[in-house]
Amino acid sequence: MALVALLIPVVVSANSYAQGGDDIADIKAELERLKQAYESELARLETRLNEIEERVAAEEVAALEAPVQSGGAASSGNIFNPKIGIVFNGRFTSFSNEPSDYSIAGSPLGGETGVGPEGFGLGETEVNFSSNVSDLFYASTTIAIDAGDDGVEVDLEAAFIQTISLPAGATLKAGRFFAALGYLNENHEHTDNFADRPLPYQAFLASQYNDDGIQLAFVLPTDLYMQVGAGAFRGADFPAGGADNDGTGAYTGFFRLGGDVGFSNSWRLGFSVLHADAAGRETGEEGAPPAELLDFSGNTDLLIADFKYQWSPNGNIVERYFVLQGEFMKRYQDGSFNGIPYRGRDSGFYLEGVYKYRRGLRVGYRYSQLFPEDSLPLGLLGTDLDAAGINPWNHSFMLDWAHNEFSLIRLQYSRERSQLIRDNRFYIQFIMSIGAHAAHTF
Amino acid sequence: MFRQLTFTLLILGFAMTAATAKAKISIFACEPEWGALAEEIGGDLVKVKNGTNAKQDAHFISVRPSLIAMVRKADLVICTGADLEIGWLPTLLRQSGNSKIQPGTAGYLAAADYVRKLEVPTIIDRALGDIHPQGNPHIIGDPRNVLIVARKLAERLAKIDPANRATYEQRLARFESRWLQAIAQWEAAAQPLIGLPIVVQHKTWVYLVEWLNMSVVSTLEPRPGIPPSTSHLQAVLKDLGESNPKFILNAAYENDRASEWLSERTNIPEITLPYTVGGSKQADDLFSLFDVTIAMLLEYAG
Repeated sequence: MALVALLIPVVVSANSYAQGGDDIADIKAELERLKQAYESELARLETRLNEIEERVAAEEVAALEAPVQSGGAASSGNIFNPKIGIVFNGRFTSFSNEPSDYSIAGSPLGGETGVGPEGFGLGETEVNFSSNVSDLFYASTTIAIDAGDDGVEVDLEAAFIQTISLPAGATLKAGRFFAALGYLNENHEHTDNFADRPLPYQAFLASQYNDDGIQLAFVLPTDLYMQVGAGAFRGADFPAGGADNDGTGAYTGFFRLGGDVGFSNSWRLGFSVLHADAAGRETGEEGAPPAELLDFSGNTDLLIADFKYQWSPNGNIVERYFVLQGEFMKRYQDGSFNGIPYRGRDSGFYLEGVYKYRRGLRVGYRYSQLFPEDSLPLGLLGTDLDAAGINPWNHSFMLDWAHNEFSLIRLQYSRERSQLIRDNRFYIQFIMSIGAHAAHTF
Repeated sequence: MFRQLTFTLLILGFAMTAATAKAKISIFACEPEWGALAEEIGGDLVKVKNGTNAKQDAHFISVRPSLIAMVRKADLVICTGADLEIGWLPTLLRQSGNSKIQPGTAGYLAAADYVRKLEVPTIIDRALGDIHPQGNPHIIGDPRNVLIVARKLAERLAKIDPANRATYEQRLARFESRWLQAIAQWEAAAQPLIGLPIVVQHKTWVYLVEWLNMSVVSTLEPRPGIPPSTSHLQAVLKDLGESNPKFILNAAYENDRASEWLSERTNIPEITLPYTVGGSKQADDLFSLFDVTIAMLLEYAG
């Protein structure tokens, strides 16, 4: 009995468990149903909320779209004015040697090569106009006005057209422009890091080769930057001269490559050649002693290797950067000076470093040197071709400050041995530009 | 001899040009935010290269050889516009010799052309600093602008690559929905920022400030692009008075000297926001860029 008594609760409880089990299942099912209904309602509400939010956000977005302009300004004829930029280049200079006697031992110089006048001076004021001509062409002209002691000289520095929609990465340039040679030749002098051009540019290119012609270049479709190109020119500018060969007296060729290493390092390497014919090209100032008057007929071949390396933290050039840049030039001349057969080679290089150590402030140093031909025909001894054992060199130090990218003030000290007596030169220079935004070239 | 050499090089150039075949649409983005957007819309169909990174000031970029090589191969160039890249982009496009991406073609997209711009100056004079005649170019501060640009970008991609039009449209629709959701969430989260007094270093933040309704009590740079002098900062310090700003904002690519100067003297915290994708470790896409930005602002809003 006691056992029965003991068992009953068990059975009862087992019984009630069985009954409770059904209930639990029911409740669970009910719960699940409610949960699903609730969830679908929740999802529905959420979707609606999202839709409303999206709509609200979309309405906000719509309000921010730039209004589509209807009509446009009535054309007054000047709306297509080209971009205009003016560059001022003022300076104060002091030289220990007489600047009008400027010469470089062993190198008869092209016209306009020199250090410029001493004292206060306004160098060239450049006015640039540029614009697209059509969907095919871009055009640019730079007019340099030099109002010095010899009166006002207006020089058409550049006037060229350039294609913008040729296939295969090709660009054709035609007109007057600075040929793609070395690194500095293509750049206007006011973008240089120093107030004057280094010795090899002065001696071999009369500071810059600028001529009338055409130039075709291809940027190759490679990850590494590669550009290859060639030009044909009139041959009117030093080291050509006399527009020989019916006005096709000079040819150029160039190959450049470059890229980045990480974010902080960029480099460019270039090789270029200039072949120039000259017929009766005169060098030396008018009225100079006969020893300085040389006319050259023959060929000049100039080979140039150039490089530029730039470091800046994360590629941010605003606060700090370092640039190391150099070029090496080798010149072969074959022809005759004053009718005396001459065949010679000379070379030169420059290497410069510029460090921007804080926003707006840079310091720089440049060394350049020439290695003149030292075996001369007897008849040419004592002329400007005769370096008399001097290998000209130049040390330059500069410090410049830019308040913003349109204004720059520079101090430069140079010590140069291009003649028997060393020259100490001191420059204070300002370069300011107004109007169109100049390009940040590399 | 030189003529022959040159001729050979030219032939070589032609040959290499002809030999290229490409599968993906190649996109050059002037700034990382547009590169990230191009990846959202283009997915696997595009190959994106960024011309700048978040640590660089997109105004001061030089036309480096690497950039010319990138643009040479691009089918589409997407940039901010509004003269942000005026110092380098026009030259870069011309030097690339690539006819597909010149202004006016389908391959050239300037984002700021399609959004309403703030701070359009009425007086245009460089004495006022580096001003932008078309308005402030820092449109990435407002995520709503991103969507407007996304739609334009999808349109352009469909034009350049019509075979994949449907995919671009789908990807845009998906991005649009996700982005609108995200905007709503950011806006909800940013409620505490409404009316918050703040100081900014440069006028980088107008769009962000306008979107979140914060209140700029002072700008450290008196003229855009010209760093403030100590005397100017002293004047700013004096003028702060009772305005009680909560923080000083600057961007990852900016030198924070001015912010630091003021922060040291006032104990107002300085916040360096990523500004764009990649500006901080967490900000690795467009969504996380704004997640991080809002979170940083909220942290100091207290």
